[in-house]
Amino acid sequence: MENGPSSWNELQERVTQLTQECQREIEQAANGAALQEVKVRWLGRKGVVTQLLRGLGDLPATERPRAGQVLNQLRQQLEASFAQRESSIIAQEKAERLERERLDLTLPGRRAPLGHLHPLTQALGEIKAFFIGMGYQVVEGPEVETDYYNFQALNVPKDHPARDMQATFYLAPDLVLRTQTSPVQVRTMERQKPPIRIIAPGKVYRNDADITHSPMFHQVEGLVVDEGIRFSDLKGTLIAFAKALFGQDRRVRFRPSYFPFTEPSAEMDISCTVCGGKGCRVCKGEGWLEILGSGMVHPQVLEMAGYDPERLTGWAFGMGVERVAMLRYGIEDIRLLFENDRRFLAEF
Amino acid sequence: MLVSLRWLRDYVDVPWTPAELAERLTSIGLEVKEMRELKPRFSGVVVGQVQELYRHPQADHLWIARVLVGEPGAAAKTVTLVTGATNLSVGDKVPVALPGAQLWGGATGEECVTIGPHEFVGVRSEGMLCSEAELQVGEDAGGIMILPSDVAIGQPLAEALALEDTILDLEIYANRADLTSVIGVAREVSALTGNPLRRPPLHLTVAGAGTSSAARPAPLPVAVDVQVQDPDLCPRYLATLALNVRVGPSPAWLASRLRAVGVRPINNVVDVTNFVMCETGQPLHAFDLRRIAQQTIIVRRAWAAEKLTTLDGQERELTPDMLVIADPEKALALAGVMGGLNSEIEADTTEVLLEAATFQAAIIRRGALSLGLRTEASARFEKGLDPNLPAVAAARALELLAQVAGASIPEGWVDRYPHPLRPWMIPFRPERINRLLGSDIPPAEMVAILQRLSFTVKMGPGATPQAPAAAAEASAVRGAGASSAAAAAGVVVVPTFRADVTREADLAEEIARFWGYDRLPETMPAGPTQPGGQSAGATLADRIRALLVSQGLSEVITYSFISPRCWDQLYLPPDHPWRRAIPIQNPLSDERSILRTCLLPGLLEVAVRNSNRQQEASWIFEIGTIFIPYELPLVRQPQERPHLGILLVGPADQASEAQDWSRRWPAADLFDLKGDLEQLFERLGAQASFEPVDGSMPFHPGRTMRLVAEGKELGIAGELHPDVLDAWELPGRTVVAELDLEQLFAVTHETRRSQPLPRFPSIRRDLALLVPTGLPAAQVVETIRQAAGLLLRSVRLFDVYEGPQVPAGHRSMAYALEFRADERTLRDEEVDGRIAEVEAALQAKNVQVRK
Repeated sequence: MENGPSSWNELQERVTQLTQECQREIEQAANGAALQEVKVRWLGRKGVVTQLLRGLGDLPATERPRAGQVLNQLRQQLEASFAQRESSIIAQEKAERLERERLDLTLPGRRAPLGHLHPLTQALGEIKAFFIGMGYQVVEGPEVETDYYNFQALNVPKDHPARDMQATFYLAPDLVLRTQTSPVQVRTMERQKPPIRIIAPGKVYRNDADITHSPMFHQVEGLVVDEGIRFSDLKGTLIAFAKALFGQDRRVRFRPSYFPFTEPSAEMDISCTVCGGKGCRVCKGEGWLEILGSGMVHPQVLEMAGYDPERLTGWAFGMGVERVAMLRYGIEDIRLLFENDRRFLAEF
Repeated sequence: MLVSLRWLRDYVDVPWTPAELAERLTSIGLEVKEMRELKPRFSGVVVGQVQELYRHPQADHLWIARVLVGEPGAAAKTVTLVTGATNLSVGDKVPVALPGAQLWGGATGEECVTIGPHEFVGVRSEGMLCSEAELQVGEDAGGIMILPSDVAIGQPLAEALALEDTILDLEIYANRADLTSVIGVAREVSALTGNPLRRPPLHLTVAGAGTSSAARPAPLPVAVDVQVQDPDLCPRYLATLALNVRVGPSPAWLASRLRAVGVRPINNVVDVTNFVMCETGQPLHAFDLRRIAQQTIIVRRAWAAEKLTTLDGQERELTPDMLVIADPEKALALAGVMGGLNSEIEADTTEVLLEAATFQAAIIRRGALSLGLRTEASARFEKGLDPNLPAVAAARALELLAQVAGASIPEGWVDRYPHPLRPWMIPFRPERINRLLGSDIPPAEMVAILQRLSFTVKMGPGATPQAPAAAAEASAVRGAGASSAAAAAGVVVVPTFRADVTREADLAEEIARFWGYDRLPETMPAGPTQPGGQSAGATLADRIRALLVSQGLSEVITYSFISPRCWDQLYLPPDHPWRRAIPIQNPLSDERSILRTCLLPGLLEVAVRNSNRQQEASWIFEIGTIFIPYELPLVRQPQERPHLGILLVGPADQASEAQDWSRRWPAADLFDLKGDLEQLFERLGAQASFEPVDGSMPFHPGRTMRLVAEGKELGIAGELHPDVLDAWELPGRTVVAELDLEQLFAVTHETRRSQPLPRFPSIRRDLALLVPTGLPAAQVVETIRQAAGLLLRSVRLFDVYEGPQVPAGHRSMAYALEFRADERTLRDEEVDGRIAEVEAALQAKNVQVRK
């Protein structure tokens, strides 16, 4: 480089020109791949800038440092430009990808199969939860009962007209499908010493079928026996139960009734769950719905179980689980409960 | 039981509207099932009196009556009426339909005729004289209705005949025979209101009714004999006579009373017996004395195959389990149920033997039940009637027969009543009753309630049951032992019509009823409390339900009775244990006539019913009892075993509310069922194994497994045989399981214990295998486990493929093996060594390892 200053000027000009040229190419690169191509051409091993730097050796020694500085600056400047462009392309590409990934969120969700508990199981669960919480044991008894336990021990001798209240399925002269869960009262008293607090849920059977009667249905029996058990305890407990299941603002009434195995006997009604007591189709205009039968355990029943009715008293109740489920869940026809239509079960 | 409010008001004043009365009756346990208003079937009809009567001048068959239809005096008004009837006399009071009057009736009962002035052969009739039939107050269409002489002229007929009424339908409990009568209901109303009970006065004396029951029977003018063969079955038989009877239609008041309570009037004699039954509760029967051979009544059991044609015209075959009223030659009546045609009251009957008897409740009930013949009479006898009632009822009926049938009543009766029932006593401790009720009712209030119900109460120290004053009236003390009786604060003497009151608890109910159940306090039981809970078995059942529901199965509940035909539909061999089912002696239908020995038929029924309703997929289970007899015919209570039944058919998503539009769900197969069971067993901690067996009907021979754990047979699972699918018309391949829950319970060890999580990484190696078709997968896994040793932590099958790319007789299976050591990081070389051994072991079983 004989004419140093002039060649220096040339270098300066060339660098400026190259910078502009490269900047333009960087800006024109449309995507990451194009930019990479530009980058290789300028800064790659055989790139323009690399070639220039290699050419430094041809310069006089005195020129070299200055020229080197200029070329390094050029490289750094271009590298910075590439980096900037790179990140803006990445950002743009990400934005485009995200845009492409928009979903039709009105498509339905993916749902795994889930089964349903039978509504009677659910109603019974609510009943059990209340009484277990009050310190009652849940016990069970056989569905095929002897005439003795189903009737006689409950103060219903043979040929008693009270047997007509319960059309009975017979399996043998002295064996029946139990018509009530009450036999469990007797079996429990025979097996256990007071204090007794039990409920006994289970299937019972009666020989009739229509829109409100099923030949098989479920009852829950309750029995409390101890010293000093009073009719007022029956009222207090069953009112608390009715409110727990059917709502705190539910009105409850007790009517005298007749069951051979309780004395005094009472039926419990709640204000209609549909009309609130004004009278409607469900309550047949009466405003009241019958929920359960109850009473003080008949002294004769206590005696037959070997208890002294002068010392021990008790109260008992029996309620239909279907009735509770139908009122709780607004089921109008008892037969639905035993048809097990998939769509019906799926409602619970 | 139907009660007429008007009739009731004859015996007690009711200060309430019908609706109020219904509510009060319900509050004392006399539930009013229904209330109905009765309205006359006419309007504009008034009472008139015949003033003049003469033949129509131009028509022989017509009469002209001048009839007064307003009270004599200022309002007096006389109308001219033309009639064809011939039964009128001057002075008779008659119903007059004035112009504008309306009569409903006709063929449909709903046609309405409006009466206007009408000319009969030149004479204008200003209205119409009516018969009973035209007014629908009686059956008699033969003449003009003659009204009782005490009705007021000009009064609307509906008022005069008391035709507007309210009918209450009462639910009478089985222990309250006394309430099957208007007087019985009136007694309760009297106790409720405090208003006095007005019993109809008796002017005749029969068997000491009203006075001492010890009165000697007077001889009858006709020699009548009564023989009661078994006084246990007929504690009392009282026979009386009514002579010179004129049988005819009943007067309107009697007929309308009966009609109001749903009893069809027949003739005056029969109607009187029915009237008295409704009034007093005592069924009566009137025999034509001519038809009783030797005038001898025999009360006996029917002979085997004895025939009797009852009043309804049916010939009935009797058995010795029924009681008949007979004469020495033949049966005359089915005692307490229905009379016989051979001795019924006929138009020309003049001498009536009136039966007022008490029969044993049980034999009447059995007889009525076995003949399917429940009558007003049998319904009352079944509840157990007071044997002191017949005398009262007989006296009342004889008086009425004299009144409405012109009968002359001779003195005397025949009364077979060997053991007269006397009132009994019950110890009465107001303090004890308050303790039982949890109440604070003043003793004086208790006494007042009991007295209003016709109980006699004796209080104070002298009033123990042994006291002479009480013993004079009551023959026995019932209910409590001597020690408690001594502690009594008083005694209550119970009238014999209240057989339901025998103990102090019964007095407590009477007091509570009239004090008001709503006025009794509400308390919670005192005393030590225990934690509540349920049996381990019930808890397990609840847990199984929750697990299966979480696996997409829905719970069903089916009937315990099934059809005996289902076994053939399952192609069960004749000796299959499921066929040993208990038959129901009186089933609802053949379809529900045996007790289930397994849950499968019920589940199949549900699947088929759903399929018929376009719900082809069912993933369902049931937990319920099955019944296994020890012997047949059944003698002892059978075994009752809790079972779990599962049925899967169709894809899981269609059987539930699942949805997945990104893939198609396959129809259920045996591996869905097996997986459900595996997860169930795992969660319950039961080490159960699935043993393939050669399935017999109803199962597919190659797709059946026994479920076994700890040597116990838990049950069976399998796919149903295609023939069974066809027989039941199932919508597709169906897999089922039936498990004994008691056995499952015995092998359940639900221990939930946490294991430390692995601290070192594991190494996974996948093996792709070509397995000969005959080699079961379980053996492949077992071979892998054996060869790999303890470092192998899990083997998971993740692909099975059979198809064109796989050599014939083989299937491709891919397993993922996970190796790990507890205390260090495994090196690849260690695992390489194990894999080499695994490959060698597999190759020894002709399994190729694909590289």
